[in-house]
Amino acid sequence: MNRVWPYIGLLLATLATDAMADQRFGLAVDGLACPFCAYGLEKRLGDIPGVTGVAIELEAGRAIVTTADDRPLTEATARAAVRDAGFTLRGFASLP
Amino acid sequence: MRRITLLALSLASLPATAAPITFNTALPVTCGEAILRARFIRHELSAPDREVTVSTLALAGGFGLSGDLALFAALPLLDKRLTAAESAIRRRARGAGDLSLFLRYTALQRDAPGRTLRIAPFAGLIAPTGRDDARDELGRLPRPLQTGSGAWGALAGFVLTRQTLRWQFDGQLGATAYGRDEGYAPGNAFALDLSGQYRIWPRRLSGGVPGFVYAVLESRLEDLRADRIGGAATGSGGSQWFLAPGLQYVSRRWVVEGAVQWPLVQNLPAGALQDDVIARLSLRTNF
Repeated sequence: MNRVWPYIGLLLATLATDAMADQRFGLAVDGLACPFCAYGLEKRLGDIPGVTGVAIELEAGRAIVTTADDRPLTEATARAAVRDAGFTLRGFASLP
Repeated sequence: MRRITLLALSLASLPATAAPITFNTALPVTCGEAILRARFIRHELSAPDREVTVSTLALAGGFGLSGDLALFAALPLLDKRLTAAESAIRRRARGAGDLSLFLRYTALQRDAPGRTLRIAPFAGLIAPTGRDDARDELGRLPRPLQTGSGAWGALAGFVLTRQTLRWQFDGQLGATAYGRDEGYAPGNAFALDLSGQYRIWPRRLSGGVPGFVYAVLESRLEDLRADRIGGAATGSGGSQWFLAPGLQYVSRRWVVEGAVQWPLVQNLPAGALQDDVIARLSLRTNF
């Protein structure tokens, strides 16, 4: 039995880590068509509390936003940030 | 020669992105984002009896007040040199020109994947911050050679932008009007600017945000009314049409661009200075 406890502990630690992993959200953004514009959107999304990373895919018209586990991004918050950046949010989805 | 001040003003306007080199765009300045632009402009004019060279460092800044509204400021630093052909007299004026401040509002916005259409009116003031009383050993410099107009002015117009991932078109219709200073009234001005930008590199886009290289061609049609002294029109003003080919590199954080503006048509009073060429090099950054 003493040999099992370390493995149980490792399993519990793994499950706990997964539960604390960052969350990712995909935003479809309309109106984005040049690199200099992309920085404004990146900056605005990055200013949202809890956001830990922003990656813009210009050709796809998409922004991948990563947030801390305890600060999920809502569609309303994303829409407001995209509008403040001067663009239009067309789609919002939580990514695996 | 007031055309120089007007041209410096229009050239100091601040496009927000990969955009016209010589005038505004309707593309957004993100709320809370600031943009700075520095342009070096070399302007050469000549007439049978004189030559003028104007070197300008045009500084401009923009700040996003909201997703739709942006505030811009522009200040040219001018170095004007006049050489009289027969007498070899040289006169010179250096210093800051007139400060312009204007707001631009996105009145219409139609966004789609990878493209946008926008129309934005703009309006603002021109403050007579430049000197209009500079002197040299020959006395007070002529009004057109001064770095400032001496008069308050107003500017207004609207700009249209249609942008895709491959190309962009901008059009601007603008007007400038001045008050009077000590009996001197700069003439009003009207201008129609058009710009086309086409992405020549990369030929195909991949992931992320790559830098773009655009080939640019711009057109400017302007009509300047004559300056007035004591209510009487001076021998200034006229209409001109310019064409400007250029190149532009655009990345996430900065833009480097250059253009050369050639006068194709000049309908000016007899004896007036005619534009020879205007060369322009610009750097923009955002933060």
